[in-house]
Amino acid sequence: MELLLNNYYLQVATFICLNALAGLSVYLVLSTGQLTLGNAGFMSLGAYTAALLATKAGAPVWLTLPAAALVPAVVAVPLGYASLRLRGVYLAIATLGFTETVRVLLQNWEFAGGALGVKNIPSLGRMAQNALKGALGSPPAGLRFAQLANLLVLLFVLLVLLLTLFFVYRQERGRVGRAYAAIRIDEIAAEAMGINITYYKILAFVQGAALAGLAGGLVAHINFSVGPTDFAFSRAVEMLTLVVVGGSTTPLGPVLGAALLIGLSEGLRDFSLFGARLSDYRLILYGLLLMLVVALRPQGILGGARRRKEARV
Amino acid sequence: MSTAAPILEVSALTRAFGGLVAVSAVDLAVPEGAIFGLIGPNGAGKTTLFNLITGLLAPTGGSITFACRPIAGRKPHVITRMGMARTFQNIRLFGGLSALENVVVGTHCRTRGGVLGSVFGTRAVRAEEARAWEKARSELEFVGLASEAGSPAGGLAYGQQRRLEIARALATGPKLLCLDEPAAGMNETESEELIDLVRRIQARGITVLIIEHDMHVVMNLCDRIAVLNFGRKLAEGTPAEIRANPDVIEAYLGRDEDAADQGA
Amino acid sequence: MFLQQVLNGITQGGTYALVALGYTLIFGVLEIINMAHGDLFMVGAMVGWALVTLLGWSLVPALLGGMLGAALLGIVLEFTALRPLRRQGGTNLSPLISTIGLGMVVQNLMVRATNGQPLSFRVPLSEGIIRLGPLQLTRVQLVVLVVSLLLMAALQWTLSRTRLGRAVRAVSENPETAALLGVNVSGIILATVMLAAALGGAAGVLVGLSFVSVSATMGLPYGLKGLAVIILGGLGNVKGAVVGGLIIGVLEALTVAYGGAGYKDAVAFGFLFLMLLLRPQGLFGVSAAATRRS
Repeated sequence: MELLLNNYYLQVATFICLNALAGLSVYLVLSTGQLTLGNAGFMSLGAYTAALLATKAGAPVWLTLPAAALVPAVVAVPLGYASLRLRGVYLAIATLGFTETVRVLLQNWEFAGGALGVKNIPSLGRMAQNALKGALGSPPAGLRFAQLANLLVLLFVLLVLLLTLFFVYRQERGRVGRAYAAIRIDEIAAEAMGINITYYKILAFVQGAALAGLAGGLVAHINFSVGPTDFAFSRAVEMLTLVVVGGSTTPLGPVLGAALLIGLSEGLRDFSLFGARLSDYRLILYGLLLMLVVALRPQGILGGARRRKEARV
Repeated sequence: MSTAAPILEVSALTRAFGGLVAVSAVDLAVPEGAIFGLIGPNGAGKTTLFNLITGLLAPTGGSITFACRPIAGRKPHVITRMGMARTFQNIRLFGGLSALENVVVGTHCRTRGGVLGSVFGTRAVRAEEARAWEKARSELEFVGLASEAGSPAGGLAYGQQRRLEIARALATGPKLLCLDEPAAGMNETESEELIDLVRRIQARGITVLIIEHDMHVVMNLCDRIAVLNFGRKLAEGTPAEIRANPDVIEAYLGRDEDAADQGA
Repeated sequence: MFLQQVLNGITQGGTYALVALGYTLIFGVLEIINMAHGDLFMVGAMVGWALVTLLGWSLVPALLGGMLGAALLGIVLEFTALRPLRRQGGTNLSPLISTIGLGMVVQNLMVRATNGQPLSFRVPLSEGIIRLGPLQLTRVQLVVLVVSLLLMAALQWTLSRTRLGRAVRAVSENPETAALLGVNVSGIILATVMLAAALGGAAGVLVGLSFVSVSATMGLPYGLKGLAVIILGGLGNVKGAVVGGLIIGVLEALTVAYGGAGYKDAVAFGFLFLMLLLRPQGLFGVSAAATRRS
């Protein structure tokens, strides 16, 4: 029990769930064949929305989180519409430009703290701790409130992840999911079969943005502070790596990707190779994995072997 | 064949690509319930005409009327929803999906289930899904591919893939079915099966517009034929009239050995 | 004042154009965007820095050394991230992702090597300002401007007058036809990648000179701006890369002078969006390119 509720493990698990959510947001958009590097920008928008609403307006979490999903979704509509005509490379560049633009704008926005970002965001952990103290008075069975609070936060984030997985899975098996798949495989044929590709491509884009925003809002409330460079280019690449490595053909792919990549970087923390701590090489590892997976198994680890041709990258 | 208003009417339809005029002032009237053939040498503009009619391209001149409504310049999915479906010259099936999954995509425009309905599994959406899959199965059976329902579409034989594309188009519930060279690459047996299939489609009350090079198929199947050459309509009439038309013969002279062999 | 800013902008724009030319060359022969290009730029700068600071080389040899260093990395790029994917014949997204991966590896290896700290560039040039009527240029700016122009001219000459250049253009048009005509397509691709890398490396050295410092992460903003330039100018279009680079350089300079320094980066991105919205093929591109099998 002591081992299970070790603060460190709880935090790592929470971190994995948050990244899985971020990865799923990219997965959603990728399922229509659109490669987006913009979800990091949407995460930033979501994080800042939650952070600003909480610190400047004192809004409670059950308002800031939906807002964190809503604001990026609204921004995604015109952006998605403008990106419709762009294919492959152009879309990737445009969305990357979006992520960087968000960073630049936030860095220069004094109201949002400029380069320093927003601090002292009410944290979910603190809220859980207070709730527990109020309810229980004293901690049970030799555990500390901090541990229980971390556990509650993890369970909350896990719940969000499970609900999201349920949502994505059910959508994929229904009419909307079929439309997404058809568009991904052959847009022209899909349109000829009566599918409104404009609507569905934007829908996927907006869904991805909303999910990324939600993940960003959660991060804001777990990390106490957010800054403009928290969700920039390298974050966009990390999110993409999760999906590409874990599997781009099933919603469990990004989850595995998150567990694997974060588990790996945390697990390597205590090991050293040639006198250097392996964890510092995390990003190098991600880069190498990207190259390897794309060359050898583009559909990712969980992508079905015979569906190599249908790999989304 | 009905004597009512034509289901598809094309008037002075023109499509230019910069200086090149691919389709030039073409007039066509496809009677409802007919099997209407579109023939002509390679590069005559037949597929461009198809692309104009089905909305993939917008005309640079002229008009298109489908079921008494103007459709020039409308998007393909809107036109499909109005009741026009097509197959492609280069077969555009959904490679990673099974045969049945391919056909069920065709039911999209006849169903309405959205995100929430799918996620929450409402009764209405579940019933609609069941109907859609049932419709897909029945169209697969109609084209004779029921046994291949679960097979990956990409792995089917060429002739089967052509029939699958037709099944998918039928699943959209069309009034007019546009087939682009459905007999291409087929042997004699397969062509006969195709002719039979198209007649059965006509028997369902669906009008068929067909581009084809195989003269045997064209002459035996079509009620009326239009001939295109260099983007212009050269002639229109019954198979017998077309066969006897000197301009048509000249346009094809030395081109179609099949026609010579079959004594077309 | 205005003209002075324009002059400053042209100088900076020259480096953007060099970076953009690197993208353009690779896009021309491979139809992909090399997302590791910014890191080729950075490696060139690092090598130049090392040659000047550790070995005491003077400007021109250091510049050439930087270009060579970047070209060598270009070889690595071709053999690890590009060639293996060509054999596979995947979508156009795989090389994009693969080059992103390589870029991450290179950048972070360099971060480790420099401990994440910027390194100052002891400029092997005397200080000094040159006056041209009401305008002025620092010695460094003059060097940057002259070298950029020379390199662009050299590239243009290479492409139009040499056998290599003709072969590159042939492969850009149509690799299959070029192969039929006896061109060693793989060899030309490798040569093009090296050439593109060298240009990027040169830009890196020049930028290092201009700002008197180099860092492991300097590739990112230039990489992104280079992308904005080629979208503005038209993918695969040499003239567009040059003109686009100059335009963005000038507009950035004007923004800093009249708008606000912080928004400088937004200029390039703003143009990026504008072009993608209104004219994805860029100023000089041909419409077909925007929808070519991407």
